[in-house]
Amino acid sequence: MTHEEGFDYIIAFFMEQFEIPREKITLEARLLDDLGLDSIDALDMIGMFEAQYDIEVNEEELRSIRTVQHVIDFLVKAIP
Amino acid sequence: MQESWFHLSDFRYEPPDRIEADATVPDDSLFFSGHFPKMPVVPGIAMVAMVERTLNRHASRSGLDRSITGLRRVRFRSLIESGSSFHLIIAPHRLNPELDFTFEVIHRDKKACDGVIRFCSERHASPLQDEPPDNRKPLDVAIEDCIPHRDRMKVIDSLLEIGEEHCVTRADVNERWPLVDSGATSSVVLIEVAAQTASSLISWKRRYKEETGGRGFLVGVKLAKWSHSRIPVGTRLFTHVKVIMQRDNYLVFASKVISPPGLSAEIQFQAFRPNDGDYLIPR
Repeated sequence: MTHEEGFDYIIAFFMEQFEIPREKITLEARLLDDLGLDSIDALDMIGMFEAQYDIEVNEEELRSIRTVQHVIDFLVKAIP
Repeated sequence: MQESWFHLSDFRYEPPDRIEADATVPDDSLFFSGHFPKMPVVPGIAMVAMVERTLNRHASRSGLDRSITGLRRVRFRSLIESGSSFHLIIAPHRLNPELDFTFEVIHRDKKACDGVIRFCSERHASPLQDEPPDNRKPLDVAIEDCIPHRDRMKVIDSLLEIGEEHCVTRADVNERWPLVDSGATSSVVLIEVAAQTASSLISWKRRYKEETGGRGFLVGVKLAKWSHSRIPVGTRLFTHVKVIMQRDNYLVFASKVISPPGLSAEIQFQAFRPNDGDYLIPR
């Protein structure tokens, strides 16, 4: 997955799963403070990534994901 | 009858689209006879039912033929003690203002519960697949050994099947069920039916699989939809629950409630099993 593909994927994912308006989904947007997600949303998001791409996310990786850019960086690294 | 569960007051409609009301769950509410013994806390379904009744009152006053046919992205954000008062704020959802409403249930200036509720004609309810009745004999397991709910908040009657990641229960709707009024209860109660089925599974895993984690608390409803907004007394319900995700003490369940023929519901909900008894969704 490239960064561009990752961003497109995340835009569609956040709009569908969390009903976040498109204009709010920027690379710098913070998941909790800017997009209004909570810890349950974050766990659900990671769970869906794990199921969809057959990957595992460890605690350290989970804690490091705080912005949209971090989510994309993680996906690009985890998904060949 | 329903007034014994909670009180709704000061209903007001602020055109063009904002609805507000106040609600109280008094200390002697019927919810607290069994939710839970020695630990009376307001059930999640109580807060959703307050929103439902507020919208029903709005529909009645406005001459609308509408009822609750589903929910999504609901959070129960804290444990609320008995005798608490709430302020409800309901407004059309930006994505689908004709059918969906966002709601917030405020307690002591903080959100206790929030989410999106579908409020439309039952003609627009999601069609769900009919299934045949389950004629299996119940397992020889006392429900009281599996769930902490008692008295009028104990809604499941027996276990039909239980395994590593799934559970099937049976329940007969009777006059003593939560929110029964005029011979039927609200389909919001199906959330409680599904949650108690999941609670049975958690208890079983703890007892026989030696899993860690304490009692599970309902922290959210990811998605729920049902075919009918009311369930008549005398209806027999079969509830299938399975774990679809688990990460440490956080679990997501998928459930299907069926009552052949005709009534059915699908509910995905989230539970948390705190080790230390603490319960709060941090932002």
